[in-house]
Amino acid sequence: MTPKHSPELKVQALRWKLGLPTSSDKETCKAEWQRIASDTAMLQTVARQLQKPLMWAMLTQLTNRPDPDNEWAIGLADVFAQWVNDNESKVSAKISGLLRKSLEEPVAVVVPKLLVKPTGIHPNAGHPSPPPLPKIPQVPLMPPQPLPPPATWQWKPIPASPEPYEENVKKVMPDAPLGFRGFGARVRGKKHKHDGTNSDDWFEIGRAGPWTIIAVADGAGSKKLSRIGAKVATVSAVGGLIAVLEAHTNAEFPLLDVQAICASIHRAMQEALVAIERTTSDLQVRTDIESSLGRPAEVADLSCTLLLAVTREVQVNGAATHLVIGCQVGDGMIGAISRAGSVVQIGAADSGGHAGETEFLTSAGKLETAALDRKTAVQLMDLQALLVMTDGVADDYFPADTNLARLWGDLVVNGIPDLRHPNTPDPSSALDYGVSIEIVEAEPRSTVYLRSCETYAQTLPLTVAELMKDHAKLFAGQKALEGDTAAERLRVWLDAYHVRGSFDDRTLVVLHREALS
Amino acid sequence: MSLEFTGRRLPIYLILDCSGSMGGEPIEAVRQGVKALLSDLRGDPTALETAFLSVITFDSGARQVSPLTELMLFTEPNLDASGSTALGEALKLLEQALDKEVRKSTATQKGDWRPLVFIMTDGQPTDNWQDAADRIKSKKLGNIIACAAGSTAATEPLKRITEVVVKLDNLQPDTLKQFFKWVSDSIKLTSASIAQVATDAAIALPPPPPQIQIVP
Repeated sequence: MTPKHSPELKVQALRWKLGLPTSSDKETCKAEWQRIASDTAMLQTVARQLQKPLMWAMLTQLTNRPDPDNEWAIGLADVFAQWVNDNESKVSAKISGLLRKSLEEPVAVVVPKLLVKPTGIHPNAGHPSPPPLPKIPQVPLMPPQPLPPPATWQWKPIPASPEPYEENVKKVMPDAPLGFRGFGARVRGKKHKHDGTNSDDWFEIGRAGPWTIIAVADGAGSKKLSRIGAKVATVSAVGGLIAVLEAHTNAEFPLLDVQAICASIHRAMQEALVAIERTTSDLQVRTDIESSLGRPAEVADLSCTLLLAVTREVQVNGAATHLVIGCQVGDGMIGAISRAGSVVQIGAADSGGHAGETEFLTSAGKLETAALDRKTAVQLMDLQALLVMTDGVADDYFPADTNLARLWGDLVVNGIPDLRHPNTPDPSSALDYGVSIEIVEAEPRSTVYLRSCETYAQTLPLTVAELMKDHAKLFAGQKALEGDTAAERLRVWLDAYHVRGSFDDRTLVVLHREALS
Repeated sequence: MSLEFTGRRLPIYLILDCSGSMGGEPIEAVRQGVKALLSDLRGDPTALETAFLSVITFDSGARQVSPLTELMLFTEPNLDASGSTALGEALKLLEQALDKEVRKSTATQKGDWRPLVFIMTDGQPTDNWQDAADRIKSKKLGNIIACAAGSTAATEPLKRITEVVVKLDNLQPDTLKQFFKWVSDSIKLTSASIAQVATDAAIALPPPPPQIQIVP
């Protein structure tokens, strides 16, 4: 039992008054406190002696700051008491210790540095009536609040107006060249799903005799009608190229004609912009468009990138090979894999020093012949697969020279393209090396199990480059995603695969040789 | 496998005036504002994946109290107010930080998004700031938004650093709270992952609340 009037009891009384746990019973503490409080001189002494070291102790506990500002410290009592109650044991003992110490020892010893600035209270001042204690300022220090849990990706539907486009687009090429298959898909990126806005990508696939024509476009993210630009540009380009290439369908394709094809591709780019301009005029008379923008539509509102690729089989010195020509304005990527497993990027993206900086069809000077020439590339190769994609996919497989093989490998091990091989794939032997990912969609959300060719290669063990050359092993590593068609399986994969920081619309078009041998 | 995020980050720099005149309520409101900014950004999934923050404070000198750190690992720095207003020192530090910490796009490296810089001051700069301001403006290292907070704040030095200058009526807690909310909205709007921009495009900002005026 603590003896009455002892320094220790004063400490307990103060603790009780502050709402801290006490070792003496509450009645005793309360009585002692009332004794202190009724004796003004005693109260002043205790307050003066303890106030600053008490506040200093509180602050040291709360903030690890050894030298807090006096006046500011004064306002802490209530909040600190609450915090101490939450963190009881360690802190309480320390406070008791400091309180006890300051009652027993002269003020000057206990309170270092802090005190010197006069606040109107001095232990030895001979005022007839003691000055009042300083007022509590208005802005108390908040105790540490737990931060809210991090946000998750939401799904909101596409707005009904104006000009809504589909959530997903998937197409299978109905009449691919003999021995080849073609398909493509585009999905709404996680950011657009979260914001409830349209996807800005579009793609088209066309055929003219032996030619396959692929056009992929990505509308500028900051432009509200850019999806319309992307669709108009790709439709125009593919339509125009079909018409031109129908004049070049002979089995004998003289390579001298390559220049003419490149010129046609450039014209298709220029006509795509004309199509955008025409569409803009049409949109200017639409009231729903005008009210959504707050003003009539301008060409800039339809800004987009455009990637064009054409390919056909040709004979060179009596051997069959593939001619691939690509041209692009803006970002995204055209890439090709050879049957021997080597990769090549066809052309190069437009990009600035920072992410997201690119050029558009509508940017000045991009469609002059000299500029387009620089963005056009021609390849003769023994083609296994041609891949055309927007930045939403290209950025996740950057840089292309070391990652394009990995992209094709990821498609294969997830069973996306329909491939033939002399072996029969044995799904039961495909090792379990995938990850489960939830697709961001309307509830209930589905979960898919995705594989990566990099992990598969590690189980063999091979490098990804070696795996690309070993078709038997590559074929054996497949385990197909859900989906009746290659385009649907591609849609699932594009919707699901996760890369940190990657939440853009994803579009990928694939033309591939059916035989993986 | 490296644990470091090698993807594209959105670097955000807060340059905060911690001079003596900010003492008391204003610096406390700035502390609250930074806390609220962090909390707000944590509610945005794109910021969670890409936002990296740094804080530079200036008074009689300048220091980078928080190096560029990802949002989930960022803890608020201690902010205290005392001393003069060495804006020039702060700008020099900012230039060094932008050069050293921000990644540029190369053939093999994914470049960061164009950095966002928010500068807040309540007074006149007290050191040699002109050269530093000119260098920052000419190097075009990021999108800079400068805020002159309160009636004694000077807008001309800020105009020398950037075109985008706003003014706060006063340093009341509610005004500063509105300012930090606007900072958060600006970050989310330019959270640029899919807002492709032509290389030299001007930054888009959300409309400011009534307590913030855009200085033309």
